[in-house]
Amino acid sequence: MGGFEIGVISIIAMLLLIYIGMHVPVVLALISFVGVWIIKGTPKIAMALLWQASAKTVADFLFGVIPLFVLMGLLVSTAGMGKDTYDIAQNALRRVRGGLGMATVVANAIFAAITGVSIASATVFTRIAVPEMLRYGYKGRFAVGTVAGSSVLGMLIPPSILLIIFALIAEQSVGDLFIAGVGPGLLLTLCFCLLIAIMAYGFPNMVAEPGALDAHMEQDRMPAREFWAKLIPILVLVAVVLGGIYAGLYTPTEAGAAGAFVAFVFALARRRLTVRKLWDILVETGHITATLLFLIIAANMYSRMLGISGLPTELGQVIGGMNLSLAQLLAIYVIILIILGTIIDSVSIMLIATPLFLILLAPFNVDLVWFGVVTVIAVEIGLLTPPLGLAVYVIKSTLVQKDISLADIFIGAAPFALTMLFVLILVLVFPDIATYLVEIKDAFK
Amino acid sequence: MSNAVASGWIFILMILVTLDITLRFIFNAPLTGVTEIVEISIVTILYLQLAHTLKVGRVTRSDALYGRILETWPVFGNFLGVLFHGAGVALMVAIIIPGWSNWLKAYDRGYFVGNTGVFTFPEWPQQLVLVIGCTMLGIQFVLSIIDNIRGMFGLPPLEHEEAVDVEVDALGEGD
Repeated sequence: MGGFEIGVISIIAMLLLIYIGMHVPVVLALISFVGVWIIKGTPKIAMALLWQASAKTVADFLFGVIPLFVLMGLLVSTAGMGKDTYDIAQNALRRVRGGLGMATVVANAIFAAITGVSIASATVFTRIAVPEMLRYGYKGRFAVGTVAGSSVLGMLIPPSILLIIFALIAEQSVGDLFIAGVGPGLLLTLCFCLLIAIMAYGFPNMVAEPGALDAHMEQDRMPAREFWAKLIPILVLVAVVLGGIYAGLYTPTEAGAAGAFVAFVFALARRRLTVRKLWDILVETGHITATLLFLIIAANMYSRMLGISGLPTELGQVIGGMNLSLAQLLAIYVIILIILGTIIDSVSIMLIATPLFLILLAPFNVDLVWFGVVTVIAVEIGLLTPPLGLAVYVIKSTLVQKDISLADIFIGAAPFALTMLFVLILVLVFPDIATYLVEIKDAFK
Repeated sequence: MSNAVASGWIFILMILVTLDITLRFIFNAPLTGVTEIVEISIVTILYLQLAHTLKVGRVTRSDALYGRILETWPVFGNFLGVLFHGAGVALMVAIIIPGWSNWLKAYDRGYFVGNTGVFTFPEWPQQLVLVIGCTMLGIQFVLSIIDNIRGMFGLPPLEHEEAVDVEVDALGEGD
């Protein structure tokens, strides 16, 4: 049995094991270990490979971004800044039909600029936006669907853990990916708002109870003092984190530390932080960090194994022989990502599929920053699709209204998933949506 | 315990890097060795945290199907669990064997990270932490196997600890 066959079998075995519930990093490490053992005929090299990946993969300054951005995200939520963004957006859009839905989208987009984890957005807005929409007579299905749909903005609009992880595996600049995510993120925000407008005007019965759609227009304007008190901390954080990276003042790792520190000061100033709570946040940060780094290490073992098996090169030749165009290859990639997204979490998918395709795409000279944005959007669509849309499960478990079922959330999120697919196609056809800002930045140098 | 050290360490890391940036901008006097300290810290935080992460069920897995198997056929489900966790134990042993000789080698030969004359730190502590972390994770896998075997006979797990749910207070409403 040659390396190629072992490579193919390993992929099938891997998906099978992940699907029946084995821990994803254990699966990746196990497959790599067994694969290398069979190819090299001795466990010694396989063991050396496992150790090498465990000791060396993450021992890099760049990986400091992960705990620091996670910490920042949790501190920002604790400081109550999620609610602030929603209050501002809701008040600004109070005179618009379907405004509460749009406010959820816009607030998510703003919140995404100060946090990097979309699961955080999903939890925060399930607690804030859903009750508000229900109170004004919006339909439960629409309310949860909007929250699920817009939570994916968290991973597209920088800072974003997914963009960071892509940058780490594709060896691209985190800063460039952060810039490239802005265009598609704003476009998606706009498309979500248009979608809500279309639903509110065209199919009002899907959005709210009859006559309830305009109830929120009676609200008064938020006092200027309150408005600025809520907005300024958000602006400061955006300036510290994204401003610092874009201006080239410091590295993403340092931006994460500075952002976490500023969020820490805000949470303290608002008296939202007790010693106990800070401790819980740190433990939670540790768990998320360990989970992500463990996955990254295991994926590193797996890509080393693939390298030894020669699968990517041979697969490249096979695909080269089939004369697939770049468009066809990308279509296959996106379809694979979306299918995987229905059963596996985003980070795992990216770590499994991306290394292989990076090699296959090498002859085409694609812009990897653009490719990263495409990957993140495609992976995030999976968060909304049954049977295992992660965002949907998070919302279900956070939801206080137990009469809204899992199926309701999936149905409610479906129009948003389709809109994402539409935006993904736009980004595929017009790469400039992602790369234009990066080119402008490069022109400044 | 190690979980507590790792969590506290993240906070120190945040302060340290922030301090470095502040000193660099305001006093034009950056701290030396922050880069190396961060590199060492990442490995340390990871391996000290890993066993606890597994214990509270936070290591990534797709548990929808497995959850249903466990509910419908508990004996078979727990048997699968023994296999899953057994693979974990085997892998930890496979990492610890080279890990042990490598940390000794780093210790004996005085390997270090950083640049001579600027900032250096011996390499063996992080390699020892890797061995310790993998050992603890291996032990946690063994404990999970024991729970699976108990589950096959309808006994409850030895002890149970849930992850702290920080998100519950995501609104920041205070206590």
